[in-house]
Amino acid sequence: MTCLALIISFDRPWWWVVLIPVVALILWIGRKTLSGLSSRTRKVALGIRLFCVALIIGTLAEPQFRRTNTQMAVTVVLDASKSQPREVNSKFADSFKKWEEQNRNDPDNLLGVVTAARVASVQIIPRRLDGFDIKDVGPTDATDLASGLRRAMAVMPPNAANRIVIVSDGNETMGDLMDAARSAEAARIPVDVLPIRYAIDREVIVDKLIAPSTARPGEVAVLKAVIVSTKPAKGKLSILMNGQPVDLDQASDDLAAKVELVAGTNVQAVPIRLPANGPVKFEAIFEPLPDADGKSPDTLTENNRALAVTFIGGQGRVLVLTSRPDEAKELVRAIEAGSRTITVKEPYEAWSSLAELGSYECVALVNVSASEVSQSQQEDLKTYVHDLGGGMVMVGGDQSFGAGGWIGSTVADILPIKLDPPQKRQMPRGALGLVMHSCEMPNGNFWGRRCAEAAIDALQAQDLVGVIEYNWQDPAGGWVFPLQVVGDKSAPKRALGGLTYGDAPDFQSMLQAMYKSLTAVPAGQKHVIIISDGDPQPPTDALLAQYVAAKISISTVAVFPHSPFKGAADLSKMKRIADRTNGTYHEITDTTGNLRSIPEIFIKEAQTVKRSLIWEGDPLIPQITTITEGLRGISLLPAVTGYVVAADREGLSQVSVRGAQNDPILAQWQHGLGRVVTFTSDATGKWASRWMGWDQYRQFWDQHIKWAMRPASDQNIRIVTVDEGEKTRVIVEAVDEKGERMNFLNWRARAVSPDGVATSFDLVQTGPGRYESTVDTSKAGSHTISMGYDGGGEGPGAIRGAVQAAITRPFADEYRSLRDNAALLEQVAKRTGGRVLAFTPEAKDLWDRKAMTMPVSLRPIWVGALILMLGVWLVDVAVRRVRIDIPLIARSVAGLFGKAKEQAGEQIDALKVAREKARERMAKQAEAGGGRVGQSIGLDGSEHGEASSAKFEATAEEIAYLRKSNRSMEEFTGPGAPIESRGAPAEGPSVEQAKQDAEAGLSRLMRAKKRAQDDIDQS
Amino acid sequence: MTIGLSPHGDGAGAVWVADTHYNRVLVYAMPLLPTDGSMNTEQPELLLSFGTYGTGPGEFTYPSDVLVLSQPDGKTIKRVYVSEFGGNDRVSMFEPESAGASQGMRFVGQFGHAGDAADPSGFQRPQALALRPASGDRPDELIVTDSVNHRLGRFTLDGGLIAWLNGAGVPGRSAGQFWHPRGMLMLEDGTAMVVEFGNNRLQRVNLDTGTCLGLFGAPGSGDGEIAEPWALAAVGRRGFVVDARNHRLIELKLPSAGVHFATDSGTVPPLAGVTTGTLPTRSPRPSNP
Repeated sequence: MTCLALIISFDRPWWWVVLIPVVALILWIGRKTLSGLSSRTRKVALGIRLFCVALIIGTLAEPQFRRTNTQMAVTVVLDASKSQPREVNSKFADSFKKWEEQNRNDPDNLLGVVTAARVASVQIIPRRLDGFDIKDVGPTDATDLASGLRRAMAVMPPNAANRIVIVSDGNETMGDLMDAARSAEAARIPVDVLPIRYAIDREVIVDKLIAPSTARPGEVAVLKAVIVSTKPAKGKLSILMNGQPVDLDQASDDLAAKVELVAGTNVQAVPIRLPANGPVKFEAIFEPLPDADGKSPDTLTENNRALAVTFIGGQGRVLVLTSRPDEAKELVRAIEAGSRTITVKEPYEAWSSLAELGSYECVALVNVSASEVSQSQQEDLKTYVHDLGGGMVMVGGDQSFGAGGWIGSTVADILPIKLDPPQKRQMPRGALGLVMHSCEMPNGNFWGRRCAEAAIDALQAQDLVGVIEYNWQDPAGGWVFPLQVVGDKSAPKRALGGLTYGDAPDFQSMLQAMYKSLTAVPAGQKHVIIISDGDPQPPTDALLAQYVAAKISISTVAVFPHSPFKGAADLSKMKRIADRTNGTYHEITDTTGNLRSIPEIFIKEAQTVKRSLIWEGDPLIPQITTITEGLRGISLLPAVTGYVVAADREGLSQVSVRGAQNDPILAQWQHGLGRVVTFTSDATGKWASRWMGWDQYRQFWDQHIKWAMRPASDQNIRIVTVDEGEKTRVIVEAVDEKGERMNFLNWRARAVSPDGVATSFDLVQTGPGRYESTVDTSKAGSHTISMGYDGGGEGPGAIRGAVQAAITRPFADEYRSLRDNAALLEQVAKRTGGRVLAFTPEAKDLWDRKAMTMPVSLRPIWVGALILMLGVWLVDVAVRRVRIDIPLIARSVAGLFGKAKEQAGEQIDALKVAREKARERMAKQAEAGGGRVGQSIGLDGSEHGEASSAKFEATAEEIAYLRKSNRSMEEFTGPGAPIESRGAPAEGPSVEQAKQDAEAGLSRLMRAKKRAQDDIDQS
Repeated sequence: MTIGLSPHGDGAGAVWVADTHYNRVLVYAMPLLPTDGSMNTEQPELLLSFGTYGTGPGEFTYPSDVLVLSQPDGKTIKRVYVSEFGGNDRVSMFEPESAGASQGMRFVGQFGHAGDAADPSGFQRPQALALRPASGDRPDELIVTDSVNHRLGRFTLDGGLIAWLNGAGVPGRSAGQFWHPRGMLMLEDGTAMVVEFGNNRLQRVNLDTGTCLGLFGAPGSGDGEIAEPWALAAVGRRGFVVDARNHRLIELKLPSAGVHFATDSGTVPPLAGVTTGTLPTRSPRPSNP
């Protein structure tokens, strides 16, 4: 049970010093001010006043309730990194159960758990022991004990005594544990440590693989694998080049080379002939062989690999992407000039990694639509241009730019033109109709909706879309979304929720309704997509002929037909519809996975309506508006008969050639480290037939490709990287062709981490031709660095170049530790006043309260004291000012029952008697000496010579009576004892009159007695 | 599906199934119905299977219905008609290869082809077949629902066209018009009860005049409503409608007795999942001007 020790303490106890003089003062003042009170009352009043003053002083002294807590919290910082032996966690779990059992009857012992790896994670906030479960600990490839300790300090309960226990081998790879320990020391938190001791005596580490950062194709490079071994060991060394093993031992079938290691550092040199251009990733892998005792010389296998990257430069590699190689033929011939290496590929298989894409100096897309390039490829292209300095040239055609569905794509962001034509251009819009019959597909409802959504997404706001299906409630209708403007796409997408997925008996009624709607709207391009299993009856030939006449194409997507074999009726029916109307037929018959391609089909088909973004007309000579490097020596361009309409982009893009209505045809700009050129007409005979025979055709393309291309890797730039733990220092030494150091270069540098995150960094000149920077390389893997430089100026004499390098961190530093670092932990314990514990401590040791300062919680109570003081003060006032006549009160109460009347009558009778006597006395006096009536008698009984008025003055007897009854004038003059309240005489006019007479006399008597009392007081 | 004679020639009943998407006809022995009302889970014997995919004579694309014509002796099969759609859109005729033992069926002829309503012999999804027994001077007739042409055809047993009901093929909601007629049942009085997929109703028609004699049901899923009905069958006076979109069978009381099964015996146990009720009759709508 929690034990509370209630104590009141004062935060400013020195206020009590004033109590004694204040008390004396009060006593002295009270003698005067309280003298009119009776003795008893005076004492009570004084006592209350002193109490009130004490309360005031106590409030000023800031009183507090003081409570000492007996709870103690132990927060365990558990090292969860990879370098920990696996049995640590299970041992800790066993210990936890033991502590739970031992603390069953002691709820004052609290336990919290924080795991520390690359990040610190709170697993249990300190609480009474109740189960233990480790959840996500985050990445385990690093150890940041400092972060764990700080997190443990953050979660400690403030009202308990706290200890922290670090369970670790002490090998930290991040952060500074001693620094965190200093914080704990300052906060007076003892940190106990529980070292996990181990020593790996059998270990082989492939420390690094050294390879040249740049080389020429065909060159023989000598790779050096640095291998550290604790003991002599035997094993096999393999070298992979771009994932493929290199034959290192041609004398045997084994590709790997047998190596014998000595204890210590070994360097294995491996000469390798380098392939053609591009980045080459090398990987060295060591495989240990059992020794004579059959034991492996290696304990951890995670550190048996090392990576290196060499960039092999050439004359310039260009990748040409096209699905129609014929269209790119002339262009390829044009750019092959200058000994470039041209690779032509279809977009989908163009590259498998960013590194492979990065091996090209320029990428040219020739009439490629967005649907041919995956989203990840688009991301790669963006990174390739912006971060790796690659060049891109986009050449037009009827499948390119806006007509190719690139509007709103990732690649659109890096183009020097905007793909949405300007409003003022008033391009004809497209109209798309969707005929939905997906009910018999697997998950037909889901895929039907997905397809429709994908198609709508491919449209622009001004396009029209309509969705129709067989509606069992309205077989003549079936519009899910009548043909109308797409707008922001929310309306048509919302309408898809109304799809009923009816089983259409025929296509005729739906196509008839669709035809009627499409022919009623003005649109540049009209297209219909049907998705079905082919079951419904085909439309009539007459209706298909109407479609053809109206230039409305129908594409069909046959999905899971009932007869999936060639020539089957439902398939041929669908194909016939597409063929007849110049649409495209798609067939999905695979039962696994192909369904995912259906939305892509819909996107591609929907883009058919984008052809409305194409300008085609009479031959038009494009106007050169700006002379650029690409147009150097060209003053006149041949006519074109078509191009894709686009718009200018604000900013630094440069439009050098324009078409009708000022449309940009040729534009270029610098984007990040790279350059982009766009040409919205085509490179074929379709729109640029007059270009094919133009004598400057090759010059035009050669110059533009050259301008966009990333400069070849400069052999005069030397890069050295220095490992500084989590960071790497990059040192660049630049010399020109004459060997002179290049100074004052402007660098643009980007580093791309293994997970694709690109960051910029600055290179600062630190010496003649020497530039340095630091790059974060904490993540394991290959970091690619691209650096472009220029020395200012344009044209042939401009100093410009680029260089790439790679920094590899093959495995986490976790795997470099071969023994524990218990010494660090012991230092932490010593600094903070903690202990070094055995691995499985008992609960009583863990929650040892000896030398612990138990926390005290203080609660101010001055407000309560103040309220009490106010109450006491009111009592003080009441005691002094309010006469509590208990007998009077008693009489009053009794008066309610009649007894008081008698007492009142007795008093009146007594006063009457006194008055009669007074009259007699006065009469006697008058008789005796002609004294005047009313001669007063002093309080001492002496007679005064002054004549009295009608006033009645107290006689000596009356005065004596007063003194005897111990009453003051206040009793007669005060509000507490009106005569009337003492009881009126019995009813009857005589009694009333007597009463009035008595009252009049009493009033005079009271005034006389008051004067007598005053005389007494004065004496 | 239909109930017909067994191809064994023994006069026993058999279930003939148009196995649409496997492009064939299957014939099963009649399943025995326990008289104690319990379920019969025994797989009936497959007596015959014929048909392969194709467009040639005797081949099928998507067979939709089967009709078995008996010889006057009531024991052997005279002829089997199979309607199909999916490109062939015709009615094929088969006869037993030999009387008696279960041999195959041989193709003997076909009528109709894929075509719209303008084509007098055009079919667009002949969905259901029924035999209209002879009456007086009128011989037996073959009735075919030409579903996508929205009409009913009357044919001789050799496939000669007698007449079309709603022959223009214009779909409609009025009485006497059809919208995707599918299942059909011949009533004893020579009228036909037609299930209309598109109109979500049943319509009883005079096959001689095409006059509507009653409309039953309304689109919906509540009581008395149907949605995308496919077929209609009868057991005694009890009719059962396949209410496809509502995933149920609706039992209704037929206006007059339906077809009796040759092997019908005793009490027919109630069918699971059947909603019993009466479809409200609807007044015939006036024809469109």
